[in-house]
Amino acid sequence: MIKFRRRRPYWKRTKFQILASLVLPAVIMLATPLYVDALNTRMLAGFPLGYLISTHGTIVFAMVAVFHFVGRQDAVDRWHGAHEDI
Amino acid sequence: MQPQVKRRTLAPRIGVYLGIFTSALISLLFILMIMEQLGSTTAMVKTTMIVVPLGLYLMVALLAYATDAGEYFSAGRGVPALLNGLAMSITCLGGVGVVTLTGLFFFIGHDAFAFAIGWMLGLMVLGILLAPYLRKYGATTVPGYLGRRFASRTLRVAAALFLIPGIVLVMAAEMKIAGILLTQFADQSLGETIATGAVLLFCIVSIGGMFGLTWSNCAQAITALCGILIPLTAVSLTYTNLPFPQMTYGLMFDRLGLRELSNGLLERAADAGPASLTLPGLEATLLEKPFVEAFGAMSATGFVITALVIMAGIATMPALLVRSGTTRSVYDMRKSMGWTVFFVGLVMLSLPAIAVYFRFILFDTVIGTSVTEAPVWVRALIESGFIIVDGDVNVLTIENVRFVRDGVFGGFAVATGLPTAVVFLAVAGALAAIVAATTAHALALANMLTDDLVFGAQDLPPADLPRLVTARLFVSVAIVAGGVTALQISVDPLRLFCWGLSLTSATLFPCLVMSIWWKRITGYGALLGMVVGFTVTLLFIILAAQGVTPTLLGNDDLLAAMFGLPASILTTILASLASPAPQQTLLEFVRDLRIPGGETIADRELRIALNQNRS
Repeated sequence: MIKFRRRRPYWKRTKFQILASLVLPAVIMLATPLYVDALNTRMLAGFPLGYLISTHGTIVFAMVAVFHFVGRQDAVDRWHGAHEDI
Repeated sequence: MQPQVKRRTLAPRIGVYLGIFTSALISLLFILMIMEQLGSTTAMVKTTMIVVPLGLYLMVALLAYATDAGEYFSAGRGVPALLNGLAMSITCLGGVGVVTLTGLFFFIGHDAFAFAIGWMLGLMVLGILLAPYLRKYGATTVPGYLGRRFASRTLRVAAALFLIPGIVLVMAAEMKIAGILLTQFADQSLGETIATGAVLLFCIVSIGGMFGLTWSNCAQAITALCGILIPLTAVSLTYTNLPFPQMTYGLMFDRLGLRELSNGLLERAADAGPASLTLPGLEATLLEKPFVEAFGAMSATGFVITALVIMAGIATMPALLVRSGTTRSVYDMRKSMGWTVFFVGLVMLSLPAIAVYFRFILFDTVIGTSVTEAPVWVRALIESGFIIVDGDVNVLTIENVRFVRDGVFGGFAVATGLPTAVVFLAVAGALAAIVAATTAHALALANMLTDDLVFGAQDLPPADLPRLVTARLFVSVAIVAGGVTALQISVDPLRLFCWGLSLTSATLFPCLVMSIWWKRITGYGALLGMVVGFTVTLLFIILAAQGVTPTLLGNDDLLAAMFGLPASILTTILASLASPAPQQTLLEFVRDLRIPGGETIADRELRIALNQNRS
């Protein structure tokens, strides 16, 4: 069980993890489709580059971001002793 | 040190059972393909492919009978992460996320990714900001959590009342799509579909509650994934000799682009007004936009606003939120959200592939031919009203052929030229998604009515028997409410779905997020925020239905939450700051909520209350 004095640093670290795993990816996922026209001049694997990044890129990025968060947040929990004993 | 808690995994052989289900489905497909070659009628193949999977869901639900309230309301907190993720993914997609979204990709191409990105972002917000903390609390209903978080029964009842319209609208949207799909393929009207489907839905939900629903949702998710991926992979192999249609449809872009250009599909600017959307509705629509062109159906601002509105709606969908109480631990909950994002992402990458291949097939085999020379499936779709030819024309062109948005998914399956059994596997997949979403919403609504409205005033939950009987009765009420709404309101299902999401998100999103992430939020702030968010969004929808649309941003009532949500956030913050700071006990509750370790809060409080009651 987490010690009382470690609650504050644990929550601070968790908030930082949210910034890295949610806010940053969300901004990137919303912003990249806005530049699709500028990037569509080049092609990759048959797709216009802008289209590929704003569609496949954002969705794969979301998958990676969530799985990365699962691993990182579990590490944060264990480091601070906030993890579950099961 | 916390004592080691040994938890029982409910249905330990569920992986084997789902493996048997998948084998049965694939075997059914092969048997029907063989029988088709041996001369079986299309009607027989169609009926078998649609009815047998529905029977299997019912069987799964019957086998997973819930014996106590713990199993009925939270599946005994024993669902493995992967299976919870599978069930959540199909719940949040539903018919709208499979059938309607395919139609949107077909008509507006790249711009439909506003919805896909909104869906993904919503799941990320749910998985990172909300679900792990609701799992720590052990929530079985959302108003129940809010009532405990703010120690307010008024808030609990108000939240339950405000959530009812949103859930009913989303259920009605799903039922409408089922009606459209079965009109296309089984000559059944919406009323007949709802009447026959209601009994099946009731049985699936009421027998096993959340326990049975989880396993039947997993079976439905497998059917939906097979229905989407098998025909699509076959088409990809036909056209490109490569599997993985999510990547191979890029190889069609050159040829598709040339055909679009030669048929006069030119790039166009979005309508004036940063938040006005030009989306296909319930009526048949002309194909007007090149697939790759960005921001032809909505402006860049509209794209971002759409994504944000869908995000807030998906993150606060009650049917998903109540699933957070079902996993074995907080870590499992996070992992299950990872699987949910994976499965939804897979579908979101597959649907544009369907749209591109279908467009290509149309340009290749339909456009430029006469009605009499057109393939048989085109004539069949014209007869069933899913392709409409304007006037008495000799040659089919892009200017005289209209398509029904929600007929695209089924139309693609027919247009592939694959055996009838594969075509109806796609239809069964779409139906599975609809059944999964409708049953999950019905259960969320019924549990909310039971726990928060009927028994909400009690300190302790009632005995299992009255609680389960009431919950099962309310399942029928929820299904009837959804069915009646679907029959009474003749509005586009996408619009109904977005209204439902908007009403729910404007009510719930600010107070739910802040209840975990901002300790200063108070019960007054949350209540006032909910009232303002709900009222502004509802007013906006009603005014838009009357034809009074604000011209400030040229916005669409599809994005009804775009005013309600900011109003709710602002009200929650200001009213919280204006009211006295929350009590120390509530702050301690939040601190406990934020730590994954330790016993589930709701279970611990119930155990303590029962002990006190005995002594």
